[in-house]
Amino acid sequence: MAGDIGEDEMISRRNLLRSLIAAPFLFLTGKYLFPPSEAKGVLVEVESDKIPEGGAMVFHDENIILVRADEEVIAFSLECTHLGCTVALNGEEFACPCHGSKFASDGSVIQGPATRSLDRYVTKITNNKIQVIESKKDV
Amino acid sequence: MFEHFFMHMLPKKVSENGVRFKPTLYLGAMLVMLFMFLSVSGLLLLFYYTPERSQAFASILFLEEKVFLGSFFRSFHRMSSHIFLIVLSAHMLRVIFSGAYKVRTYSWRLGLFIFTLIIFEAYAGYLLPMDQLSWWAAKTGLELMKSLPIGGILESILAPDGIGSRLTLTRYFALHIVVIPMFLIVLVSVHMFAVRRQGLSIEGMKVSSDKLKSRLIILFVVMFMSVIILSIFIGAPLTLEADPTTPPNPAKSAWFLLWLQEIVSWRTWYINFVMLVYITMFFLPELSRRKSGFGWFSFDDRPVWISVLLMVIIILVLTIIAMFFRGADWSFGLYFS
Repeated sequence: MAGDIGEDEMISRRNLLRSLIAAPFLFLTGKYLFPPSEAKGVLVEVESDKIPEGGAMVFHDENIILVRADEEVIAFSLECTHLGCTVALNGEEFACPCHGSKFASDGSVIQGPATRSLDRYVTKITNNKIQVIESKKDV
Repeated sequence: MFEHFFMHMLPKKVSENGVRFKPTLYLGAMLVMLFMFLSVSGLLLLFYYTPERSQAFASILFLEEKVFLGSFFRSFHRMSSHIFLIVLSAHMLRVIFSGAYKVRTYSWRLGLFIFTLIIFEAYAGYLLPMDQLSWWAAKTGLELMKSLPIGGILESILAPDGIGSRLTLTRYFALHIVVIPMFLIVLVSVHMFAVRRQGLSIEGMKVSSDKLKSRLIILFVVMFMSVIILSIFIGAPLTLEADPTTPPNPAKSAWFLLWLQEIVSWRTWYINFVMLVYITMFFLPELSRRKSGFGWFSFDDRPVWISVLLMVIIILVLTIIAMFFRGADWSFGLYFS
């Protein structure tokens, strides 16, 4: 009996040693799998007067919509805050084709499953040009 | 020598219960055959497919329209995979309903792991044609994954630059054609070796395996012919080229993930219930108080098979709802398309 227990211990000690040797290799390979991210800085740049009052402009590749309301231009992300599907502007509201969330034109949730308003990007206006910066605003 | 090598997948003598149809329904054998169909047709598709985002769709279009038997092989691959998933589920249910999971716990747990890999395999293959259907199915599938507790990490490994982008397509391709199949071949070999080593979950008199062999050959021919006929009549769909900016409305995942999409469309965190059930499955042998060995729907194991049966019904109902009763903006109604 005593011999059996000793053997078990040996095996678990050997396994521990094996895992200790494998861990750094796994860690390094794991890091290899994550590619470096490319920082873009400015996502979109557009002349301010191209967006009429009450109108909007969609940038499909960047998944951004610029909406002008009350003189102010808001940059919404078109990524649904539920699970990241692309919402579409449908009249006065944004609707998600994947799970049915709906957002008002100010980004607030009208209908779930989303629970959070659409994300807004930081915007900068210089010389009549609007720049959308790659950082999200806290609302 | 060649023939001998393959014929020795079976031992000379097998349990009489391995020869009979009723204990196993031959589902495991069917899965091995379907895996062969998938490997061969997959290899053939490799001769034409280009895993590059601007070329992928065009290469499938070329295969479909210009290549002799091109659309047939694509359809054959797709049909085999659909049938594979259905037979796989049937195989798991057979193991639960017959009580084999309680007798061969190692095979059960390994099998569950294999099952998970196969779902990933099927999902990764969905993106490759890069048409609207596949792009958005892969997208909604990735979103499902994101809603899991470790989903964020999984997403940054699988799709670091988003569905359909350069790195992601390369990774889905590598996973689908090499990485997962390689693991599957090893694990399935162990899974089958376990049957030889430990025997079936129902012991029986040893008989010559000749009868089983001839039955398997007949089964192979029947399976092969049925998949061929089905693939001729039901072609693989190819919609327009993927357009990340315009989702189809509604955007639906792959059919085997639809029930999950339906669940997260209510509340995202409901997916944790599904995860809980999934983890419970690994401990099913310990949770079950079954005393009897092998036997279909045995009386002392009612809690297990009744709850699993209920689960199957729920999954089927959810799939039907998501498939036929969800229209634009995921609204509820009658949509038979």
